[in-house]
Amino acid sequence: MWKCMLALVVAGNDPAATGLSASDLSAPVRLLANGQPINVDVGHAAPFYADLKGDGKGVLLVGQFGQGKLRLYPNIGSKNDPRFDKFDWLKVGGAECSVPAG
Amino acid sequence: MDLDGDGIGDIITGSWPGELYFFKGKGKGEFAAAVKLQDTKGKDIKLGSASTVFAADWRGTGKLDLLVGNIQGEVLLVPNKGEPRHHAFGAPLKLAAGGQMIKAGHGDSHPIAADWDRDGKLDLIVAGGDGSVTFYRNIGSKTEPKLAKGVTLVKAASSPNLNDEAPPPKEATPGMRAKICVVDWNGDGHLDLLLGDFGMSYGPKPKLTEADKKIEKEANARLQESRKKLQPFFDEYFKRLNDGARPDEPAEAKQEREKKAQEVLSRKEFQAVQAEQTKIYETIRRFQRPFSYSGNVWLYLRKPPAAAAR
Repeated sequence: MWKCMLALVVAGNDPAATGLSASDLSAPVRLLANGQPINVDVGHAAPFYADLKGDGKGVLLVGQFGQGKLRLYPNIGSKNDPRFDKFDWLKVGGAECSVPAG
Repeated sequence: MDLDGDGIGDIITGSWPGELYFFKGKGKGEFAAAVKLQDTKGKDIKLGSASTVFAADWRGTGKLDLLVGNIQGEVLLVPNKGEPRHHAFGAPLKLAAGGQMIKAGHGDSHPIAADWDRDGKLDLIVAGGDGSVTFYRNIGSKTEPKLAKGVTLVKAASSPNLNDEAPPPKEATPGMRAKICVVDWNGDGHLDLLLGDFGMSYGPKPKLTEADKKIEKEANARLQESRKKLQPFFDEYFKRLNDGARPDEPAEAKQEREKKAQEVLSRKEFQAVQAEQTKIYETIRRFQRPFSYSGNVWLYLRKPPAAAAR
């Protein structure tokens, strides 16, 4: 299989040939927090996922339009099955911080 | 992203005015107050409004460069010409793919770098204001990336018509203004896609009685009239705003023109028509579909290559 894929990659840039296209992806599902779809204030969700705490499980960061703030959802599930419940706002020195959003 | 190379993850973000903000990670989930990222000349890096930023070793130098998106939908590379623990950002360069400058659909580009095709080189993935996501394969090398023509990963979102009679969709679908993150979500060794959106969910068009339809029709007619009445004020506003504008004029002269132009919009006659127009909009609104905005995070799991190739 891998040899075959490699050959296709070498063969050229035809996306159909490499299978790198929209068909690469499963149908989208919304991420939940506390059983409800994550829904940020005034929309404009901007996600990022990284192991910020160094616990190997990751934190889901979601930026929002409302006040230009950033939500941090710690992964309360496992590494390969992330789950979310409550979030904290990104804070600096105990105070919520933001960037100009509009 | 660990922009300062101290082994602790930092946060970088764009902003509506355009400046880029750096929150230095202090460990244990703590961050320092934001500072604006600057170039080697000490100027704030500002490459257009509605900026987005991603740090990646795009040129294979071992240092993190910046990929910046903006409201025009461009993708800019800001090369890091500093040392591993001391960034120094040089002059930005607009990125092209397949021989054309990259332009995200409806602007509002959000570029990120990831080895999406697992060939050991970073590729570029760009989300756009229309909700689309495009994959640009790196057909160059690690140190001299060259991008192939884009391949659509996620199609542009459809925007709802608030006046038509079609039933609302049963299921929510991803909206506009996509912002993305690529990560192996389920640990299967394949990169998956997270997409944040600005969505709109809406209900059915209200059933209108004959009386409602009459009111709606009249309101639309009055709207046209009020637009006609406002036009001369806007014409005068722009005339005053642009009258005598020069590229080299002093800031005071520009402010003076803006003040003179603003005077037109502060006139009582203008404000009266505008207040009337607001009321007309409220009336029309009653006959449109009810709607609400959302900002969800969508997960697109990557199918294993074998399944995708079928």
